[in-house]
Amino acid sequence: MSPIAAVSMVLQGESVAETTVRDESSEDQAFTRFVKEAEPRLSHALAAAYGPEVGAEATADAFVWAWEHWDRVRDMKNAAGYLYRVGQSKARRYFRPRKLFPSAGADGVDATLPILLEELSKNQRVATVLIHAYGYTERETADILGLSRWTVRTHAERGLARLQEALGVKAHA
Amino acid sequence: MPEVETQIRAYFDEVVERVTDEDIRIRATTERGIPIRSPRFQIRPIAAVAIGFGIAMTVLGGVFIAEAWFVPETADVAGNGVGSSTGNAERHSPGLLLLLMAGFGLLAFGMWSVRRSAGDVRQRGDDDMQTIERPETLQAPSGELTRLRKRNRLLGWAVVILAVAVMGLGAWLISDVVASDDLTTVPAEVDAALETYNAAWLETNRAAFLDATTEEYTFASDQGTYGQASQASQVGVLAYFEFELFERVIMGDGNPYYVASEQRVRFASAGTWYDGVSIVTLVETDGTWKVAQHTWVGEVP
Repeated sequence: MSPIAAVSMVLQGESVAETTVRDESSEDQAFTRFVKEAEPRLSHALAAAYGPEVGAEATADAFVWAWEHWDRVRDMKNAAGYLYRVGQSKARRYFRPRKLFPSAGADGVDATLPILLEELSKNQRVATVLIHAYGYTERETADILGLSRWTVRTHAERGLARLQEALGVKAHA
Repeated sequence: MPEVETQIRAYFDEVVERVTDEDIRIRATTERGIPIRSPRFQIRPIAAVAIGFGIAMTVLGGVFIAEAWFVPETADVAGNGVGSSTGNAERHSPGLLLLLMAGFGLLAFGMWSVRRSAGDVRQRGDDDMQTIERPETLQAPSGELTRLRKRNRLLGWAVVILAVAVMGLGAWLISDVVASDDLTTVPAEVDAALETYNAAWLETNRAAFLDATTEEYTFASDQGTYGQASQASQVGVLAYFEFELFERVIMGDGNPYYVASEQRVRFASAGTWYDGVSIVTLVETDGTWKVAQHTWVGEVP
């Protein structure tokens, strides 16, 4: 806050302290909105890339980094994509579990799906999960991965085709 | 079986642990030290410092010992097999071994510290990667969480700077030791020219003397300065001449070379030894190294 702005506020009967508290509160709200908006895409992308265990830790670390550097992150055009890079960097600090994707008991999920997911490349997994499972656009996925739309489309198509072939399930109409 | 897209979504909905902004605030503001990270990367600052110093001291100790035990201190330019034994006791002193042993000790301590920190984590049963699934066990700071406490990286940077400084000091000392080796070595052709010059004196070989010196050659001592012809006549008439070489230092890094030698000489006419320092200047003329000047600083007959 500039000194001129501070003087102006004082003259208007508004204390600097009150304004600072209000600014912090609005920044908190902005950060909360940002997390709500970016967290699903980032969580699923990092979980698809590094498995749910490491992915969750990397996502949390990336958002902590965003919280610490909120002044920078706030003004980024592609903050989610940047945080994906941060998450990638943080993920290297964790042990990789022997099985990247643990078995799950969800109804209607083929038991071999975790194994098949692991056999895909990292970018194929992320693209397939974000686009085909969660309905993100190619542009949103490309922003996260830092790739072109066409590359992302290819990854997603190949990933889905391999899973369909292995599971013997027809493509979604 | 449902479509693949549905299966993937159901699977990820089940296994992916979502992160809320409250999780982030708690994680960012709770005390650090919760073993959520791999023990492999938990290197304490004391361990980093110990390892840095240990490496530097081990390398330095090894270099000094190698230099003291394997690099000859004197050069036998005259080929008379006489060398100096002065300083050998100091060079082979146990201080160097102590330096090396201290380096090993610091390295061992550093490695032990790293292992211990990893062991502490294992002893607490936290060997596996932990996730924040029990936020009630985390200790949030008292008061309302309105501002984030920044991570203090000062210690980390201090360790990095200290390690770089130690390694830099080690590199500087090593380069100094290596550079000092150059004080006793010259190119083979320069060494050969010097040996020819000394041999001419020893053998009282006038022709060889003229061949080993330039036309502008001068010999300077307290008794005066003499030219090539004058000295050649001296070389030719000396019935007996010998000298012992103790130390040799090379100065200059090209053309000319200055070779300073601590010597003692004896002539047939006078049976006593005369101690002094010879400074021989060697220059390259027409692709051949020759002696251009010889200065004797010391006792004279």
